[in-house]
Amino acid sequence: MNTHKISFIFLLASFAFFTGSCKKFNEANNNPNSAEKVSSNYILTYVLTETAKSYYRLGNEDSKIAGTMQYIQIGTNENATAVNFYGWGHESWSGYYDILRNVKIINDNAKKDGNKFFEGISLVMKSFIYGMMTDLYGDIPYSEALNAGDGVFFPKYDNQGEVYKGIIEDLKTAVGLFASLDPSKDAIDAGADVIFGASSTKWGRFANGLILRYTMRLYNKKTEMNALGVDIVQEFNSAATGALTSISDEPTLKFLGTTNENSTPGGPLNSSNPRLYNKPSAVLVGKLLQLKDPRLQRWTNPVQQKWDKNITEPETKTVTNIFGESYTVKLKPAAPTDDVDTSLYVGLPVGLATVDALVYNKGTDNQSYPPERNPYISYVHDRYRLNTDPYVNMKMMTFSEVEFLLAEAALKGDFSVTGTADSHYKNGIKASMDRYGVIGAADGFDIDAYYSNPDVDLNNATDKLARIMEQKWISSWLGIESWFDWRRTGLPDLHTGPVAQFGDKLPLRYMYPSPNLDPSYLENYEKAVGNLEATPNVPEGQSADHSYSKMWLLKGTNKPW
Amino acid sequence: MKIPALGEWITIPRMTIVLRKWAFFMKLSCLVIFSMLLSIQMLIARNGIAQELSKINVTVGLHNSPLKNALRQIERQTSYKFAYVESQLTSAGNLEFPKQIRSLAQTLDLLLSGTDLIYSVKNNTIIITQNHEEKVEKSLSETLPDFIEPLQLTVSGNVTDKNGNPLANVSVVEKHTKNGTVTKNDGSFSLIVANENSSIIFSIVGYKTQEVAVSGRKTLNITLEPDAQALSAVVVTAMGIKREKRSLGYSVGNIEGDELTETPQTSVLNAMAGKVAGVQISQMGGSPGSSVKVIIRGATSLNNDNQPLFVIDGVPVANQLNNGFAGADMGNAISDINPDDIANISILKGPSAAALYGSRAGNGVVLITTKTGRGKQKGLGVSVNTAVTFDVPYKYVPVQNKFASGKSGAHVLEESENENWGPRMDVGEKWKQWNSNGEEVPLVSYPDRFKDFFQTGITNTNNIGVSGNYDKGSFRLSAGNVTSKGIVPNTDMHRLTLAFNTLYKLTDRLRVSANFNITQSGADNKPIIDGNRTDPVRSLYETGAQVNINDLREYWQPGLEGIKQRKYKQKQNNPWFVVYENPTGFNRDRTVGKIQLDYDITRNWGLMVRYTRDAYEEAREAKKGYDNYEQPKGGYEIENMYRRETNMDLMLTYKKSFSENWSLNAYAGANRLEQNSREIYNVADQLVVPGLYTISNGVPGAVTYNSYKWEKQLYGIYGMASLGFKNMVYLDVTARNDWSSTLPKSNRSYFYPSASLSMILSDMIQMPDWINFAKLRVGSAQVGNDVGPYSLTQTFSTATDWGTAKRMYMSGLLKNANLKPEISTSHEAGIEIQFLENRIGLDATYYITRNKNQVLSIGLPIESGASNKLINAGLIEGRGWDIRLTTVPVANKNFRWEMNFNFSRNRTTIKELAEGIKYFPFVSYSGAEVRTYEGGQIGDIFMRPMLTVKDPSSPYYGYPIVDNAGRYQTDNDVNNMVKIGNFNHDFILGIQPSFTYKAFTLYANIDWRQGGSFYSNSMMFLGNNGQLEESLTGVPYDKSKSLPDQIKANPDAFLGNWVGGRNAEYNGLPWTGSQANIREQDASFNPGVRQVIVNGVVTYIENLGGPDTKWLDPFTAYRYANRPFPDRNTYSATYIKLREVALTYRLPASFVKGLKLQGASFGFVANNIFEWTAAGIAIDPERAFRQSGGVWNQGIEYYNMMPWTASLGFKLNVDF
Repeated sequence: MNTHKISFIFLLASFAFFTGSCKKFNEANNNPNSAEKVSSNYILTYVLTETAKSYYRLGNEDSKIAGTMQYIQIGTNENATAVNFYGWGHESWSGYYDILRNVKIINDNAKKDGNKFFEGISLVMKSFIYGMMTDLYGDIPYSEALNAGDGVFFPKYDNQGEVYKGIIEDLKTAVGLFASLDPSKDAIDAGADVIFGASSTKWGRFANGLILRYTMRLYNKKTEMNALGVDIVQEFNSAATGALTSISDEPTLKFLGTTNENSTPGGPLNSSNPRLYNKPSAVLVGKLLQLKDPRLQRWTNPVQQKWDKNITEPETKTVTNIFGESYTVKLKPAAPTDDVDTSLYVGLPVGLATVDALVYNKGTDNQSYPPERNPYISYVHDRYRLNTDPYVNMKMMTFSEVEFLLAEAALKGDFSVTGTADSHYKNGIKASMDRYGVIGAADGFDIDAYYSNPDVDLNNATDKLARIMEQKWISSWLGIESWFDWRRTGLPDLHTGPVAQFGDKLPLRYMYPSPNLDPSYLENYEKAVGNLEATPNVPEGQSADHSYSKMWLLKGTNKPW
Repeated sequence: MKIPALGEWITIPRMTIVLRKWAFFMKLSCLVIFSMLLSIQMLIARNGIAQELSKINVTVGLHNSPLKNALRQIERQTSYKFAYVESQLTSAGNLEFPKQIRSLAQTLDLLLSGTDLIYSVKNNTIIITQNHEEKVEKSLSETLPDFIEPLQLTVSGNVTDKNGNPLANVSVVEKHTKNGTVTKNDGSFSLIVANENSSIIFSIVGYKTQEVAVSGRKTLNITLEPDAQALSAVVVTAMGIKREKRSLGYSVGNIEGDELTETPQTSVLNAMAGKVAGVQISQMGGSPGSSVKVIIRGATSLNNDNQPLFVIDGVPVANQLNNGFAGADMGNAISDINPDDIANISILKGPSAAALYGSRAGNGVVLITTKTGRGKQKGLGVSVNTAVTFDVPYKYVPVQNKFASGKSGAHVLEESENENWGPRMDVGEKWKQWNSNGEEVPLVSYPDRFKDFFQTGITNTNNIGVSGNYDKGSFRLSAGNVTSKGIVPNTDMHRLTLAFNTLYKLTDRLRVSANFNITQSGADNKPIIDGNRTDPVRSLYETGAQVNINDLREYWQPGLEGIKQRKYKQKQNNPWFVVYENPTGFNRDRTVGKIQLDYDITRNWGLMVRYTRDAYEEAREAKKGYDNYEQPKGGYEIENMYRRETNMDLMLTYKKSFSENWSLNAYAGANRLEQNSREIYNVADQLVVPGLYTISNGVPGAVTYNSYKWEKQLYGIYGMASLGFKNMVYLDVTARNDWSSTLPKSNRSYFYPSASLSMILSDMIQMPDWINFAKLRVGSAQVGNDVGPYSLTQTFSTATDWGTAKRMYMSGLLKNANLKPEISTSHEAGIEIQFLENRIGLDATYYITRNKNQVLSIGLPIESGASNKLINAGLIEGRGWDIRLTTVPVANKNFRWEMNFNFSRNRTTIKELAEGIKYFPFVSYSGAEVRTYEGGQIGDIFMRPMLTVKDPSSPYYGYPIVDNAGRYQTDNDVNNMVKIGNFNHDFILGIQPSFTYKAFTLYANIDWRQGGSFYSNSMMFLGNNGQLEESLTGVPYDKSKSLPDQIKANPDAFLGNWVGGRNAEYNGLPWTGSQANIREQDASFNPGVRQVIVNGVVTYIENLGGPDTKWLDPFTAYRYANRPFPDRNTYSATYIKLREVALTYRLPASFVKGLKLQGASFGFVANNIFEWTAAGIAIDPERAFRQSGGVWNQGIEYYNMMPWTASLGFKLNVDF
């Protein structure tokens, strides 16, 4: 064999061995797939969209809170235990801390870059999420949270009062930052700010709105908050003028309806199986019928089969609601003695045993229907089963809420609020009507006539707070503020149905997530559980980490009971 | 700081210590290569045309020059080349040789006169050797020198075993030569030997080698004694080095190729099950081609999938456990290898054996050696085999066929529901049904609906192998083809393999070998097994008993073909739709290649250079038809992956026997590894045009695009020395240092050594007669391991766009810039004994493996800001036994019975986690948590128990506290959690009996796995859905007596369970009040007490069937007594499986000869025809895995319940 050929083979082999041997070795571990640093604008969009979705999901039409606040009942035994009977379990908070991790990055970057706009927004979002969490759970990891990078794996749970204090302080800082922006450097991308399009004014109003929300939340605890150095009345007063001024100030995110990630939970992209099991609750439907409230027709469908004690033969009728939507309704004759609801809108009573819920209002009809399609009970309006709809959107706060807060403050007397309770009360109602496109669109609806309905008129009320809270409850449809208001005031006066897993009361809090079982974690967790006050509704021998335990916010307030 | 490129490093003076090491290694590599090149220059010469030496004239002259110069002059002038050992040439010193024209023959004669050198001619090579010496030493491989003395004597005869059976393929070699042959099928041989004083060596694996002096005889009839494997068996060890098993200080599992192909198997891994001690093999899905998990000596890594490194003929090949895509399991990449191409598998179980492989060998190494043409009869050989097997589904999870769909608990047929708590069937009740056009028709059951859906699968395997063995080299070419039709309709799998394996001797000292394996494997549709609604098994099991599955075969609505699915209920897919309209397939093109040069520098020194490359491109595709559940507009998903690994190896070897007593084998090598991967993953979540499966057909905004790249480089240098004393004691030491690109610069270099000792006790001390062989071995070793690429720095991920806004976020995985390499240390001690005429052999090993600094992603509480953090964990320790027992209970002329046993046991304990972290969560489903505390064993499963009265002074102490709705509730105090099992088996025992009677062989492979437990999520859901027999009725009670009294008298039987039933026939109790009029007699309850607080005092109300009982419908009563409590559906994982049975008939030699064949056999084969489980449920404990997010989690099973399938078939082998 040719010497040169063989040499060539080995040369080639050695060449191959060395080629690139050092080349790129150092660079080989540089991640080509993702960036180590990105503009806060992109993170901001993530934070805003995920937060809005999380907040919306807590109250949407098959949530526990929607069931507790008796907007909704479940018409089958799917989830009825949780929604109708308040059999709640551990609730994960992973999603919230996932967002907070990113909020912290925006905050860190903003401080580093000296961008006060980003800093302000990060403080608002931080306060919003922590506020929501402490409202839900009680004591939460707060001051030591999000420091895993520094080796803090098991942050302590902070006392709830301290958390609220931090929230109010951060919000105040944010208000200050928004008021003093330098447009040349404190800029954010309007496209990235999917909530306010980079309007610092609106961010400031939102921050002030949240101060109103939280100071009122703490009203029963004002003495204890004073001890912590927070004068909630004063904070309320100074925020009152700077809060939301109209529904265009509402921090709103619309469902785009193009992918499952940006569509309503009940639309076909997220629910292959249309969620017909969600029924409006009889409590809500009854109240709206009583008030002749047009919002009922935005929120619910008429029944498909309606009992009629005035006919003898079944007939099919087309019904058009005040918004011009038409439905085919089959009228079925019923005897005058039949125990049936003859209304066009029928809600499902609260907490019925499943076996009773399934046959509710079926009267003498012995035909079987799929349980979630019982035609004698209204469905939640079709729009909640679309991927997107103008009246189904995510709002982190409403102008209506702000007005009701002001109405309540005006009523209480120890706040100094411009305007009367009545004027804010009416504004609150109108803001909600506007949100749902009622005024102008509802055929023959007159808002002034509505105000003067004796069941609406604040001046006509014996318990004015109850009346404000009732309207606030209605306007908070599929929102979670009404639950927190109810905990604080016991209003509206809601009762459990025949079946409730833990006795004749509504639940008070979310159970902590199933805890990490590291001894270091459990030490913190058990301390937090120790701070909870188990009410008699918590079974003996059961952990006080229970939905019927009172958190600091409720302890000693005799509220809601 | 940047490591300089090769050209720069010499001139840059500033180097850290790391860089110095680095440079040293590079220098070393250089030296090795350049010295190698020099030697070759000197030693190799040209080819030429055959000429007679005396007819060629040359002009040669020397003046005080070495002999070599003269030879060079001859080479230049002729076409001859020379071969010699340089040292021998040097011994001739410098010569004076007058320059003139002479014939070549004369020139050589003159040159060599006065030296002790002689020459001979072979083809165009003139070989110069020392006179009367053994000529060129046997090279590093099996090559023998081509020096043949003049041939004189023909010796022929027969070789038989002790029982007189002819032995085929026995190597018959004349001693000190390469001259040899092998025996034919009838045991006969014929060999021409040099002279009557020659000796012949007869050898074959499994028998003692015999050396026979010819002593002038022309006929030699030889009987070979069986040899215990340990005596002379050669096994392949790390880096492909063949070693006598006796010399190894560690345990190596070995499987011969024919053991793998007793029955046709689509994956080599399945064929390994039960055959090696210490190796646990589980097929996780039920269908052919599903992923197979291989665990060697227990799982000691909490981070990776614990899969061993696979090396095929020196080529590390990619394989991983988790191959999920779009809910289907695409199968391991290692199944690309054709089992029929495998000659042998060596399993290096611990770091001792595997240390040289470095980083990736922590979980052991599976070394696969493919068949070659070497060692065969000279000339061409052709081997053909074909097999057909039928996969027959035979066992389904038994379900009740008495009650139809429904879940409300009322007496209503609710076909829309997945649950089966509806009205009684087959008793004449009439209901409107999905396909009754609004008519009320009798409700009847379809108990065969599962059977009607599944089909008999057919697997067809064909292989042809052509091998050639010649003086200059050998080759083997093979083509294999597998096509398989699955038991799930419209599912399939196919594989085409082409293998080429060749060796060519360029010169007597230089060999080049090359291997190429090309595989094209794929499936048009693999069944989805993730337990979601596109999973055919789930959609089938959630089909109501009143539904005739055959009526759903037309799965499009008439007139809406391709748009609207025809199904009987909204909440599920039509199972036929799923399998025909949601095909999920893949195609993988893989090339594994190797080129290797082996050079014998001298009789002691050798050099090897090797380049290997494993690359594959896999295209995965998942289509989702319009109107698929959760995807109303269908969808399309593609994932195109490219993976490549290249390795360059250089290895210098030294081998010497210093005296009769001492021998040394030493190896030094360098390795460069480079991995590159890229991937494109695009999803169109909704489609515009139905039935058009392209990404561009995606609905605007519903398309996501992803692309990834990964790269890793690793350099290693290693050395090994094996010192032998009197062939009795062997000491091996190895050392390796790696540099990995994936580690932080300061920790990137890591070193790990090993040492092992083998002592042949039977040669050292006098043993009793009945002990034929005894060996003791001990070893200690370390293996270092790096981490995956990009584990050091945080980066942002991209979320789906929000309209036109881009979204980025930081995920919860906290990376770690200070990661250190993992170091796994293992100690093992073992014994091998052969006794009773080698009829019994025992090979036992005890081992301890300690994984230090293991890099793992530990679950953190999310509020810390991270869901997981990459850490270097403290210490994870595995301990266990692997024991192999081989027996030959009967052996006589016609009948031979062999029994092999492989026993394994392993336990892995987390000794230490990280600073401040004491707890490691694995997975949690439906309340069953797999988790381990520091100090605890891996595999423990926990749950929250039922809430009970905890006051010992209460008369109801221990009674469950039911809630106000009358349901059992869990005790949420984390301190009260209870352990309900551990998913590890106590032991695994593989048993392989084989019976040979004349030409018949019956082989079986039995796999017994004892102990352990698993939580069956499927059984929980099947019960919840009212499909299990046990859901028909609660605890039996005496209807004539008071229920509370019965319960109080026998609380253990009742408490925690439910009482009642579906109707009066099934122990349902009467309802009271208005319910009595509208309901079946199906009142049921959860026995216990309810708590009320009266004036602040806790009192209990009996909920025991008396007047205060909260009555429930049977669904609720069953559900709350079972679903929250995983122990209700936790089962023993003990099972015994008859994995393989093969009855083979080898055609008689005379008959075969008549057909001009070398051999032929025909066999009936069967796989998995029997399985016994201790649990007695039809869930196979081998599949106690839940696939989630493409990852298999052990200990929890979820809809992993394909029917049990037996494979039956036949196999034909023909050798030409």
